[in-house]
Amino acid sequence: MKERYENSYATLQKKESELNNLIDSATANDSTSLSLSEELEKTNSILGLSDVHGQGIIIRISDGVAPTNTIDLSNYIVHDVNLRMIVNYLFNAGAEAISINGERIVSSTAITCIGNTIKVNDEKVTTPFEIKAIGLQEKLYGAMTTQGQYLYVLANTTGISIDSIEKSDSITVEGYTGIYNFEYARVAE
Amino acid sequence: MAKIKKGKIILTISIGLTAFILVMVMFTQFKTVEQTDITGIETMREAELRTELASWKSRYEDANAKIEETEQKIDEYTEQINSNNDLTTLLSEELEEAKMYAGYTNLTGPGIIITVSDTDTAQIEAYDLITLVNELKNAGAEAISINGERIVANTDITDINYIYIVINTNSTDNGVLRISSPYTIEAIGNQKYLESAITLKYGYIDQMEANGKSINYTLEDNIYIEKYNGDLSFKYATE
Repeated sequence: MKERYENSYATLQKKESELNNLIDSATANDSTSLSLSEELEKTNSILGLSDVHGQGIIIRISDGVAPTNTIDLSNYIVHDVNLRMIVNYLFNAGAEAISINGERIVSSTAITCIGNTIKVNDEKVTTPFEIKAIGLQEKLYGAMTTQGQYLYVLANTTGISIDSIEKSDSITVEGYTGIYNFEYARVAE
Repeated sequence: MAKIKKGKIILTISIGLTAFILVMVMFTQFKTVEQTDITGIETMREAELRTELASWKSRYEDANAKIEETEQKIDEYTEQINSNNDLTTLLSEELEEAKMYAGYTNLTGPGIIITVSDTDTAQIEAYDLITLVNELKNAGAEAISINGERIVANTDITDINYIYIVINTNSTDNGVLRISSPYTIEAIGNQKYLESAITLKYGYIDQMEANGKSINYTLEDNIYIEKYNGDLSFKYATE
């Protein structure tokens, strides 16, 4: 089923770029429709539908190596809740775009766990985790490294390995590869 | 003769003893199996698998519907362009739709209203709300609000010294948006999915109650969810 989705998604992307080219060429000489199409592009960008670039931080965390004879490995494993909380604190620090192992966090994103598998946007993600966030670098970095903050606590109270927290001036956060669709919600008058 | 008989007796006794021990071991195992709620595990696995398949199937259907929609748009735009009409109407429609997905419009629809609140013994933490929002999203919620504040792509829910909770930190430049108990979480979507997301055995409601927190819910056919009041535009991210 997943393969069939990916095939359809590829077709959809082709159609959408065809449509965008059509709009671009037609609005080039009309200021009203040009400003509309620019606003549309901006809104699509907010929806996470395209790759975005900018300054920010990259966090790398992974399952820790438990000493032999450890009975409960749970303390050494990155759990879905850990990823949810990191994302929450990055947004709290003003992150504008976040991805986990290439999966963009959008308004409908759930980060869940089934058995031993973590899923983001219904896609499996596994250790090591790379969390990229675009936003004001110093603020994001501070929120992740300051004593008492979530990631700091995680590093000091669990066996999870915080491999690196790196500032970067040119991060690319991948676009969302899902589809927005409302079946139940309607615009209220 | 006596010697053979003696050997036979020993053999019989040891076989009997072995059989007895085996039976005992089997009973112990039966008991253990009985204690682990095997049907619970089976139904959960089945439910999960079904959810997974259903989820990809629905995404596949969404993709195909979207292809059709895009093809139709291409036709519409081409028609307008060929007859030298301007594209304002078509573009406005598309913009409205995009804004709706982003959270810039008020929405109505069927769904669930959940109330969680502090009790004498336990306080609601941001974690409780983050978990709930995640469960609802996983169940396909199309719009969610907490105490009237719309959940959008960059929503955070954060404890401030475990004294109070703030939400949508980046939606306002002046101060913070404090929310307090009771928390009313409204979600539009498939009522069955939304309900089962929290009523599952050992699921959200069970856990909240086990922690001494109060939770109630009702299913409503006409939930009204207000739009987001902030600005989601990027300052640091560019295409």
